[in-house]
Amino acid sequence: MRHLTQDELVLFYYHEEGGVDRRQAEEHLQSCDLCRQELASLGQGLEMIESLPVPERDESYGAQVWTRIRPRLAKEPERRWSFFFPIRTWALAGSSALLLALAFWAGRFWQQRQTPTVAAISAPARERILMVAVGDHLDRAQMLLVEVMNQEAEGSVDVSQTKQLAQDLVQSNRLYRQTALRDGMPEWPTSSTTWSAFC
Amino acid sequence: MEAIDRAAQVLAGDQDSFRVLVDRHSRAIFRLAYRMTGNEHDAEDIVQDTFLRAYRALHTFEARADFGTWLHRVAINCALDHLRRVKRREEDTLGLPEDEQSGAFNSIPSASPTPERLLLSVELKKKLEGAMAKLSDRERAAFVMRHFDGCSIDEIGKALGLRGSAAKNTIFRAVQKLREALQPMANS
Repeated sequence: MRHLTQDELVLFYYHEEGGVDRRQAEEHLQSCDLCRQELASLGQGLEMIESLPVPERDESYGAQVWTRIRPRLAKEPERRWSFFFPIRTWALAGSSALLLALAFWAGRFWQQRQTPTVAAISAPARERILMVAVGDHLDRAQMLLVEVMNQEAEGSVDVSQTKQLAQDLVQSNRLYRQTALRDGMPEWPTSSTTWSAFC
Repeated sequence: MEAIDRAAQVLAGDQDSFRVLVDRHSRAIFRLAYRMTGNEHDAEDIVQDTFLRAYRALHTFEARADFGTWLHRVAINCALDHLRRVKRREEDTLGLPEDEQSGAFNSIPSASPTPERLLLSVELKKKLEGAMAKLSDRERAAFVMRHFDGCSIDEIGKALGLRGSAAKNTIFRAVQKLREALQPMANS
């Protein structure tokens, strides 16, 4: 039989399966001085580690640990059956479902009441509203541009918020443009391309 | 009374039964934690964490398992978490040379010397601690479980979340590192 490898010697030392057959290994060790010496050296090294002292704790140590941990223990440990009958969890789930149903019903009711109001606005009034909204939109766009121009050029600048704002402006710009075209308003400025470039 | 009965009583709300389990296993857990960290102070913290974690997770203890083995597994995980925290702290420590940074097996010196401690020469102790310090957290855990706790490679794999071959290789590496570190002493 060939010599035992270091790994096989470790498995043999710890009586672990997975190495060479134990009986075969024993037979080999009886006849092979080299492997026997190697095993002895392995054992010697590992036994040396055992001489590393561990500070002793006396009989009262358990009581000391208990005194320290007791205030930190919950009143009751988590129970296996509590997973199946979590009363508080069910109560919470029930009230959440009820709230959700109420919110859904209220939302539907609110929507039904709101729709006719929009339809009742006259064409000139709609145009005025649109003009005010567009004015506000342009103001916001201008503010953003000033902000961008005044940002520090050196070092890394976090533009994620500004970018998000610019994206929002592009979206609303598109909506205003569509509304203006549908209502036959004069030509809409093509600033959206500028915003898109920024985004 | 068996540990399983005690555990059942704790789950039924009897805290006093847990006191008995703490009393019975504290010293063994301390020894394990000390071997994992080489530091009394850290070992004390790990003992407390182990029992707190075990109390919270008692419902996961299976009746057919041995309570001591299960608790040791909890302690190993606590020790590994602790060592990871220590390592993170070390990494955050700036300006200290590596050998002055606190860490497992070379951090806070242990308290009052025991007769055992006095018997072992300071130099030998240092070398043994140095050898253990060469192991990674996982290697140390695997080695302590195999060598001192007599856990099988299978059990070690389960406790450390390693496959059989990975657990085996971890042990091999640990033994190899220890042998290399202790070779000069063994020869002398």
